[in-house]
Amino acid sequence: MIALEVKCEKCGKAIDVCDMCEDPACKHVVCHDCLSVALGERRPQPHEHGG
Amino acid sequence: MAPRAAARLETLGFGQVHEYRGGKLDWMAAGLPTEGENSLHARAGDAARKDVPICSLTDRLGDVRDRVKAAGWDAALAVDGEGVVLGLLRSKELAKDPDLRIEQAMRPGPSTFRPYVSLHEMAHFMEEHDLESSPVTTSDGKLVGLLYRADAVRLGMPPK
Repeated sequence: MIALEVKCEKCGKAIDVCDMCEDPACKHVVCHDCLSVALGERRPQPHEHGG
Repeated sequence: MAPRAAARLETLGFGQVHEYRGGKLDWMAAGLPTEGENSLHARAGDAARKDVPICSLTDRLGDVRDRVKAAGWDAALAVDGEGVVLGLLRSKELAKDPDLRIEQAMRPGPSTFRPYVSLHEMAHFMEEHDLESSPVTTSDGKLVGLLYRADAVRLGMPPK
């Protein structure tokens, strides 16, 4: 089981490690989703209800 | 090309229209040519060093380290027979016990980035996270090259 010990600085989601640097002591933790959107690797997705 | 765009082009009389099921991002991730204003911006794939040393999981770390240093590098990537990135060895990993196999010493499953990612954005994130280098791969994980922060900053950020 993976311990979700840090939170994404942008969205607050609990993740195991920063997706950019994988440093457990990272001060700017970013999750995969937020990083992918920030780098233009994918588009932000609306909520299922279309919000 | 998206199905709707392809259908529209057919109605305009184009005969050789194909749907690219992977989508535009996958097209760009494979390093295929693009046009338009955005295509003029520097991207990670342009600056990634393609001649980065590679090794396989079963190689001996000491042998790889000697080869990497002799070539003037401080990092290497572990890949499979298809060129898919399996692990990353930076200075810290290369300094481990030389008798380890690569799969015992490498950082497995490192974060990778697509070739079309803006160098400006990569430079920003690499500086913020104090990352010296990051692997660049296609959508299916095949190695494109290793992007150094110094290159990303030099080519992706305007001089102050």
